[in-house]
Amino acid sequence: MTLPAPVVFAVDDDASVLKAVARLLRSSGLAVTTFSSPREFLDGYDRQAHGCVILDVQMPGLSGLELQNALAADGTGLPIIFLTGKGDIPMTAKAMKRGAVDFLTKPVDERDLLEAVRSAIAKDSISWQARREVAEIKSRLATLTPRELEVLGHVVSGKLNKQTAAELGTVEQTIKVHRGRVMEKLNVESVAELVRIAERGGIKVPS
Amino acid sequence: MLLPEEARASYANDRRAYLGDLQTRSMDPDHDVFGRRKDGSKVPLEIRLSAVGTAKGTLVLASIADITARRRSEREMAEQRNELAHLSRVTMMGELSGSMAHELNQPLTAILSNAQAALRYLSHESTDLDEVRGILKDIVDEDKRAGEVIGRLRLLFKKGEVQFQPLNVNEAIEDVLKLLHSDLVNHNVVVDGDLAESLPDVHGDRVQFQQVLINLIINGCDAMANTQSSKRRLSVRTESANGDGVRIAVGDRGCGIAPDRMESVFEPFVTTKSKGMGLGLAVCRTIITAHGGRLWAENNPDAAGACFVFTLPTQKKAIA
Repeated sequence: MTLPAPVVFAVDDDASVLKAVARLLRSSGLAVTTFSSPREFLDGYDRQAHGCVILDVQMPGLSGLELQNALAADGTGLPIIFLTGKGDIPMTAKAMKRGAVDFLTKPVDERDLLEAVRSAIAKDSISWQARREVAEIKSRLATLTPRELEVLGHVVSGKLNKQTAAELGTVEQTIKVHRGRVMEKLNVESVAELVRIAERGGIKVPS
Repeated sequence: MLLPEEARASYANDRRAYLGDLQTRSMDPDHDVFGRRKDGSKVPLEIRLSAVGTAKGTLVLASIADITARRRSEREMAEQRNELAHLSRVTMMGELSGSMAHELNQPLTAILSNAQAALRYLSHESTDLDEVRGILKDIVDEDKRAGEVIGRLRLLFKKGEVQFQPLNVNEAIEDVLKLLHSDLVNHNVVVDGDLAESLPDVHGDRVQFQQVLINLIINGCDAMANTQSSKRRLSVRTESANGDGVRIAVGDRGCGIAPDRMESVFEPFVTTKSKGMGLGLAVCRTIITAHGGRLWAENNPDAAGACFVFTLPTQKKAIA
């Protein structure tokens, strides 16, 4: 998959600041999409995009830090640059620990902002590929029937067809058919590959 | 002659008016009457006229008192009250300094990014002049916004004469909400404003009014520190209080006030906060009383939380 052009998502509840920061980024040739609240952003951003997020820490409703959590739960992994009026150290530490790439204090100088954005985008170029693969795997996994998912779980945990059949109360031949369908749907050739893909797609191995 | 020259004619009129309508009444407290000392200086007087029916017809008993001393002590009390109000206001503003800085920081941020964007656009080969014009216009607006923030702050820090004048309550409230915006966001508090349209102006000092309001709003935020953050709502309501001027209510969603503490919260040095002297509400009450209004606490009837209500008269009724 080829890397699309990067987009900067800017989120700030202060319309004037949002507009100004977006202008600055656009004037240096970046594509920017703006949102006036964390909620609006979560509802509307392109989950397949490549780029980064610039977030004001202090916003009504969801705080910047809460949005960071929501994004992590979303699995998008877009790098986040925080903008803050008064960056206290505990807050900065918390944000950085959860994977913020930068923490800038307002008013922010263009050099600092653009540098932070560039390095965030560079970082995302690497993770975007991985993210797309996971998304791709997940969409393929979503095509499996519940029974196929069950069989996949057993295969991944290293069970033989015979064991699986016994545990699922059916015959070995049926399991073989399911397994063939799973491999076909997930577009894999070997069990090793199947295990790798299932793991990346977040399939839990039954104990 | 005991009367200052310039007042003789009008006082004669007053006397005639009284004789035309003989009733015992006390002097209008806002009506200043002066006499003249031997050295020609003026002396504030209080005059009481009582109509006394006698067999020889109605007689008028007049008592005239020199109220120089009373006026002085009233003035001194007002000065002390204002001194205390100012002190308490400055302390309160000190606690808010972080949020105030933030309110200034926002326009500064917008100005810097706008200006740097404009410089970049100007260095492009084909400059989009419309874009640059738009940017400059925004810079002007943001600069004014910063100026307004400073103006509001300066007003609140100033230790000036208390000025009683017609005051648009809703406007003053909106000003305060702008000033406190980031403090409210920091506390995760959403304000539900319910400001009645076409309210009459009240008679009061804008700065002291805002001081009371800021105090009540901060208290409301503090009272909701343990409220689930999605439920932290502060209601600010204004309405016309029939015959009682304008009523302003600030309600929180905290845990309310115990019934036996409804009054004691207004006593000085009574506080539930770890920092703070417990003067805030005491000073608020002093201010509102001096305005001829009332300030009291109640619990919300419909839901959890307390509500602080005060009234302000539309007419001059103040004692300052």
